[in-house]
Amino acid sequence: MKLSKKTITNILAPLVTFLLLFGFWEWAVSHYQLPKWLLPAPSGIIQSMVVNFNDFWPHILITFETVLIGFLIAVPVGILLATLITSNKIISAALSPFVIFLVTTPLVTLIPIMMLFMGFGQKVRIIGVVIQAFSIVNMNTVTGILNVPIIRHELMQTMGSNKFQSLRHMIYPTAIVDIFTGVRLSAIFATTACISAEYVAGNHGLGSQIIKYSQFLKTTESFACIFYVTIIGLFMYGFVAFLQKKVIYWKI
Amino acid sequence: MEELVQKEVQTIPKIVFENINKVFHTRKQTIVAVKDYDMQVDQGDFVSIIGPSGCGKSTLIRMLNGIIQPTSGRMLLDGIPLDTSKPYSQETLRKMGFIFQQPNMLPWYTIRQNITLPLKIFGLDTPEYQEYADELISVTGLQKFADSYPIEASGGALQRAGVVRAMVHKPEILLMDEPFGALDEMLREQLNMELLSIWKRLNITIIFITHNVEEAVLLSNSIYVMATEPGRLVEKVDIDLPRPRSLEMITQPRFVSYTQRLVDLIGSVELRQIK
Amino acid sequence: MKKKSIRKKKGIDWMSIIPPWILLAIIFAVWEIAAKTTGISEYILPPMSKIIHGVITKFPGELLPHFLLTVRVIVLGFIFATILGISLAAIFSQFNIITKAVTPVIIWLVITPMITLIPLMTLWLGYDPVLRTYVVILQATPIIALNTLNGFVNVDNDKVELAKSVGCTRMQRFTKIVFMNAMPQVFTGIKLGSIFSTIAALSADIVSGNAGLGFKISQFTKYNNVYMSYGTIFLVGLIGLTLYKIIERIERRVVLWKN
Repeated sequence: MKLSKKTITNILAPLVTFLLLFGFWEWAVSHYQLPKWLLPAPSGIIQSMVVNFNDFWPHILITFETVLIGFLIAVPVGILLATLITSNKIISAALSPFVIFLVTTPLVTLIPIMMLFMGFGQKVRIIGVVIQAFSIVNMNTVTGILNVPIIRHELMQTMGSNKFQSLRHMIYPTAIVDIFTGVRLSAIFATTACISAEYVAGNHGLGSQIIKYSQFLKTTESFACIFYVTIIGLFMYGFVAFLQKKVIYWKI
Repeated sequence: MEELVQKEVQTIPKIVFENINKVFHTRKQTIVAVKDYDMQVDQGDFVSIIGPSGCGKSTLIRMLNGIIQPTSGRMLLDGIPLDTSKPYSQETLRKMGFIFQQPNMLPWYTIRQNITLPLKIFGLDTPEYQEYADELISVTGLQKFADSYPIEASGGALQRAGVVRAMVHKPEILLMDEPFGALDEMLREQLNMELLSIWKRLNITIIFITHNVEEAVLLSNSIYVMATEPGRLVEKVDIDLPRPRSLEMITQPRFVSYTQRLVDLIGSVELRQIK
Repeated sequence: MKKKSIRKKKGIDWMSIIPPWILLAIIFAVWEIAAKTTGISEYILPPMSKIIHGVITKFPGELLPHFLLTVRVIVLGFIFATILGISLAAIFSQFNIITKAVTPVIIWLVITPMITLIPLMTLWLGYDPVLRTYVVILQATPIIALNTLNGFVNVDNDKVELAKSVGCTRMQRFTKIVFMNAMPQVFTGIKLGSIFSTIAALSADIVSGNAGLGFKISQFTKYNNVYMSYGTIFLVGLIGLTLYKIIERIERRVVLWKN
């Protein structure tokens, strides 16, 4: 494998930044002799991530599962709904403020109500993730579809293409960049929503553990859980970026 | 008897515009894009529509192709009125090929995939048609670009591909909306000559939109001159120059007198507007 | 007569205003009828009339202080995050190597749900209402910085070179060329920032709360006043929507060249 100078800077520069960041954190903690319960050193956090891995693992798994399932439902739902909304001028005019309303309303606020009739199970949390994550995919897909140049619609019209053919050959590929922007954001929304849901509901998942550990002033363990949440988020983000590279094979 | 029927068929014009009007309502104002337009085009004819920008010339062929609907009036194809109240059937659309001002290629498909897209949509994806597509690709010298993506091809190649895409389903009519307007003079002349040879070979009917007077005279049997506000027909000029035409004709006195006349017409139209 | 026609020209686009209201009326009607006829428990589907009546009667007394607190947290945090995010991006974008070095860090911050820090921040700061504003700033700044930085970095190099050749100073090049060209992305970032702000503020309310609309929602739910929970959620949605629409208005004023 050949590494160009550019690739090396691309990898090295952020690495140095992270090292500096954590180095400073480590130094600050030891220099000011901050107690562990107030702010643990990164070395301690990483140590805890390894040592207590067996305690964390089931929660990591459950959080990851909730995020992933919710995300995988939210994305197609968001794209499909956006397709329906944009299929008709009046429908799209009628629904567009509601599309924004759905995104700007933190739907995590619905979780307490949903728990009333659905209990504390994982199902509630998955639904919470879905409703928070689908809306941003929906909004970006609507934007993407509405921004399709008229001339491309005209092209499909000259061939008498039906709705499905237009979507497949022209509309989705044109809107794909916006769709992916929505999907990437929805991966973030999904993680945030899942943690919020776990805060409120029950004692499963990393969110509940963060609360539990901080209540007992076990800040190191709390931070370890936060780092694992971050890793899940990075995984989702990387997964979407990878997918985007695979799907959009042409240059724009 | 048979001969008589033959003659009867031939006298039916390929395309008829009857008293066509198009009014656009925008949020701010009402624009009369086309007013009381009449035109008859025979089978195998080459007709240009010329006029300043905003005179509704591309609106006309968009209406014929069913992209937009006329506000009033009738359009006939082979003597049969087109039903503009609903989208055209693919049977009707197959008779026409539309060439846009821009190449209008889809960047995620190769040139060949772009060219054969109409076959997929029209349900004509048969070996015969694929072969025909290949033939068109080689006739227009697109072989070396066929498997590249649009971003990798030159503007001229893309515009050629746009022409081929409009012809791949063997239409009887080509509607061309200033197809070579964005290209440089040399390339434009070259493509115009290629177009004439294709037209002659396939005996196809062409309506050509342009604002270039020389181009219109060089290509057409007759030229419809339009004016703006409202978009309307001013005069029809028949071009009685021998065929095959060549670029050398441009400097001949008869050619020049035609261009001069058209320039005067368009100029006077614009003068009238200033008043 | 003429004046009237001019006013009409400026006019309102009814096609985009009427349908949403009609739809809203339909939603309310269907909700009301469903609540009253299907026999679904009032704890799950309270009648719309009760929700609206509840919000209106309880707004001036019970809800207003919480409403004001949440609005203040969202708006303050959001404004601060916008200034901070754009300034950071402006500084980072001056040096290629710094842009490369910090982008992954910003992404990392965008991905981290800042509400995970609320329990710890409560530990550090107590039940300080300012804590919520910090959470909003922490959550919204990275997404604004990320989009803005993207815009700053992807400016057409020819334009910058042109500005250089006519002798623009570095500062002029940045404010006149780079910043103006990046405006669409800057506004994308700001809009997302407003959404992140609302979500963060409400999550913070729910987690750390003894005040704020998020706190009221969980309290209403706890005491089985579900109709008030719904009403409060609608209220929150309205705050988010209003903020978003205001930004959109400003965007339309500023970004004139983008239809």
